[in-house]
Amino acid sequence: MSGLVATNIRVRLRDQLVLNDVNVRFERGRVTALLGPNGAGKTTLLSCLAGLRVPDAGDVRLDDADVFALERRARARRIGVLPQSSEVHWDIDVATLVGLGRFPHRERWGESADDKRAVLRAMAATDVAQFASRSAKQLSGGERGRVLFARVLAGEPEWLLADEPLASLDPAHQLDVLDQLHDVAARGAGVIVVLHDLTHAARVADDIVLLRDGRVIAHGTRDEVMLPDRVRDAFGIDVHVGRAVDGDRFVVPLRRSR
Amino acid sequence: MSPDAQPNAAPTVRAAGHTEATARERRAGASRAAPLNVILLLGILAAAALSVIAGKVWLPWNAWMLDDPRWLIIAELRFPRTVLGFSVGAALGLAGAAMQGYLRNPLADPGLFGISSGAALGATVSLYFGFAASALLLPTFALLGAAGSMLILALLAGRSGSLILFALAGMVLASITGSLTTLTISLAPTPFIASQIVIWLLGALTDRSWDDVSITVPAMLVGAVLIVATARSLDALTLGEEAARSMGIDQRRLQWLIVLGVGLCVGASVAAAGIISFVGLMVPHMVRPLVRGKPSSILLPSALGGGLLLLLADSLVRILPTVSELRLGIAMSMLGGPFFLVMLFRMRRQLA
Repeated sequence: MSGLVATNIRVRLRDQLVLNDVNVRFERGRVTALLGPNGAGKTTLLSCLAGLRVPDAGDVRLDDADVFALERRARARRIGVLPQSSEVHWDIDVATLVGLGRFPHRERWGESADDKRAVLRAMAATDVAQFASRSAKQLSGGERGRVLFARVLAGEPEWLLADEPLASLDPAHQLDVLDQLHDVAARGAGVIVVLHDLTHAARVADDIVLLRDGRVIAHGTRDEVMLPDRVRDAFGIDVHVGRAVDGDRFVVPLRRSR
Repeated sequence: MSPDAQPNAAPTVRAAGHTEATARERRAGASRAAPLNVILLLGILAAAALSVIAGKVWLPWNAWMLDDPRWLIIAELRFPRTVLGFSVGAALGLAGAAMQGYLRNPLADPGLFGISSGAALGATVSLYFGFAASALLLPTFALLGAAGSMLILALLAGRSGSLILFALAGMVLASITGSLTTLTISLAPTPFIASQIVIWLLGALTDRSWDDVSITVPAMLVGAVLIVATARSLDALTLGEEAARSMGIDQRRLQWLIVLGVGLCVGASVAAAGIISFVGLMVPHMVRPLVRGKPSSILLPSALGGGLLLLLADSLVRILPTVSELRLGIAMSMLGGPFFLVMLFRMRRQLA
């Protein structure tokens, strides 16, 4: 089976089942949003899919190959991860930071012409090229978010796994990041993104996976999943789902459901 | 298909406009370290010359004749001392830069791991048994002590690759070995041995021979090679552990390399010179703002800077008109303490 496939994944953290028999398959060329309340297991699922966390049971396969058996750097070339934390520890400039994304591609010494091109492309795509030489410590939260996103793009992965990439971005840059996720998928990569904003999810995602208490409770196209009943099941809230002028859905949370 | 296989039209145009500027900037970033390294190298040559000439007996160039009696001082005392001064400083500077990069903390010091106190314990034990007479035994014991510390560290923390466990294990180890050293001193058979231990612990490069060099410098070289092998992983850690792992860093391999590399460098330094503090902490700090780069580009200048600093400090303690030579370890602490305070004051102002 092609794509990124998780089968019967189970992850236990102390006494709690964080993921409980999760079966889910992701396809290339599509943006899939992972939605669910806090503690539903979204981040854990993401790190299992990225091959960074070995589940207690079940397996993750990338085009039929065991993700955990892939050589680390080969895996890193294929699966790019944008973690939730936006830490940057040393005073390095933006171009150097974005260049770190080429890490899994780099030979032992120096960077190749390919590396340089990929870095420039990523910086242009995220609109950070104008502060290439600025120190990463001098960036605003939003600028830093874009630079870190550029770092992942520079690796040119086949799969992009992003954990809440919209946090700390203003609405304009949120839209930019969503557009970029869409572009990346349009160019053939698989995109899996953890989101909290239901309207953003309804607009950007081709598919939506709803998680609750470590289980997948719905998985389908956004038209199949972004329905008041489903949302109530996952989040325990009543929502109004409307249609925007462009035909996309928008979601307004109303109250906790009783 | 890779996501960037088809360049998207608009951003590519914009990227082209920035290509030149960016390339220039990047070159500037890469070359920032190069002039610094050249300056440090020149400084090291000068300081090495000073270190050979200076001392209670000044040795001008006309003493450099094989038939001059002073040649013996040069060949058997000054040369090894100069080599050790540079090597110890370089090893400590390099280990400090690696530690700070690994722990992602500018306040990390190679002494934190308990490896230097393990080495000190080994040396103390050898002095306790009166092995000081042999030039080979003391450094060997010190290296064994360092190896013991490394082994315990690796067994405790090495399997998980967890940073916090690692740092805690190091600190506990440092306090245990430190108290064992004190215990050994208090149990010393004669007051002479006790004072011998205390004085040794203060750190110095007095009366070292080629034997000391032949034991400790190869260990430092191996350690340096291991540390250099971590360079790119340290860069990836700039973005945090999770990001580094997703980029393909093998955390456990990295931890082993750090333990062994830092362990060999620091252990061998203590074996050669006793405990010399602050070099590993200070030098990367002095270098970092000048290079403004990734952890990997700080490694070489830190090593060179450490070597230079120790050559100068060791020459200074010999030149100072004190009755008996000022111990190098004390001199470094006296330099390092105030330096560190000033740095903290500056940081406070920056943070305020």
